[in-house]
Amino acid sequence: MALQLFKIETVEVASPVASVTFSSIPQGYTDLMLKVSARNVSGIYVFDYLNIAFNGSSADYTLRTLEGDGSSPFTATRSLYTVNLSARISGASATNNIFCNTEIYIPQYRSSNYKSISGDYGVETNATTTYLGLIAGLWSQTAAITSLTFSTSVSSIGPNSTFTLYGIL
Amino acid sequence: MAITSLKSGISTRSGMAGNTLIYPGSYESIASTNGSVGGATFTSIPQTYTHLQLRIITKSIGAGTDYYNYRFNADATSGNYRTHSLVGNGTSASANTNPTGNTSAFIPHTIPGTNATNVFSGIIIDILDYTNTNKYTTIRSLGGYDANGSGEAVLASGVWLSTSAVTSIAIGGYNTDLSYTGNASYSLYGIA
Repeated sequence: MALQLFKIETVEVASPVASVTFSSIPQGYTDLMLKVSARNVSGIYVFDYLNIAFNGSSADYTLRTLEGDGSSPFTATRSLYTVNLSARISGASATNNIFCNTEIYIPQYRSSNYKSISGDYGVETNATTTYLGLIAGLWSQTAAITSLTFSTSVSSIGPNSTFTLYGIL
Repeated sequence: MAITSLKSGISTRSGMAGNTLIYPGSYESIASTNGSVGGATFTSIPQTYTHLQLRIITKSIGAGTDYYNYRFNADATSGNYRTHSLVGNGTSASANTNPTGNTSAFIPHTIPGTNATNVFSGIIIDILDYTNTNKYTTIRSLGGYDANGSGEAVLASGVWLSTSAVTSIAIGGYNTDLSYTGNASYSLYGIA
């Protein structure tokens, strides 16, 4: 059977914004998927955190990661940082014109179980050190996901960043 | 009455009374091939999608292992590509970057050779915003293989340091040609 993937909405950032929100997410799909091509506008790093929050909530998030930085692999948990989930976004110090390549998968977003997510990302730059990795996260709440908000931990999301939300049947 | 897409061959029900209305999906097959000597090249890529995705299953025609190699728009400019990878082989993990100066980037996914009988590598490559001329083109790939005693699982990212829209993609082997017979398959999809 062909992959039943449906675009719900694309947001393209025209000028720097603090956050991007998908609200009133249709409740007729089985899973959600996001593809993100974005970078922030200031800061001193090649990368930044791409924060993800559900339904405006700032509690009950946990996350673990497997990442590489061009030289070494490492794994970590962010159980002490529970205000959101996070992948990575290209930072202002990344090579000009490079935007992250990130995918987030949210299965069973309408269920009454806690919500698990998975994701993978590459934050390229024309140098040895940069980040790519995998994440597995949990939002320990049972509400159906009706909105998604992306932000960065430093600075704002820059122009030409795109966020595309898909529904999967 | 069923409607069959000429492009994808997928049949869906129509919106006639009595049928559930089914909207066209956002994931479409652009082209698929069993490849030719050297791998596969997709040209005249439609500029109407938001993203592209490649799904490949293949192996090297050489005896030993090799890597995927890719090139956009036939650009062979030295230093115009860069890749990074995160690799696990069942014993240890590593993170790497490719040397600068490659005329075409290698995707550091190891692919098996003919000494691994009947073993193929699978890989999915996502290319985002491929028509956006404000961005360098980035890829993200996930794949690997197991040859019953060896193998790797790999996440890789790459960048083509050009703002040109992607109109063609060539996929081959880094050291030797890729397989073009048997179960090798190279498929390009457009994502709305």
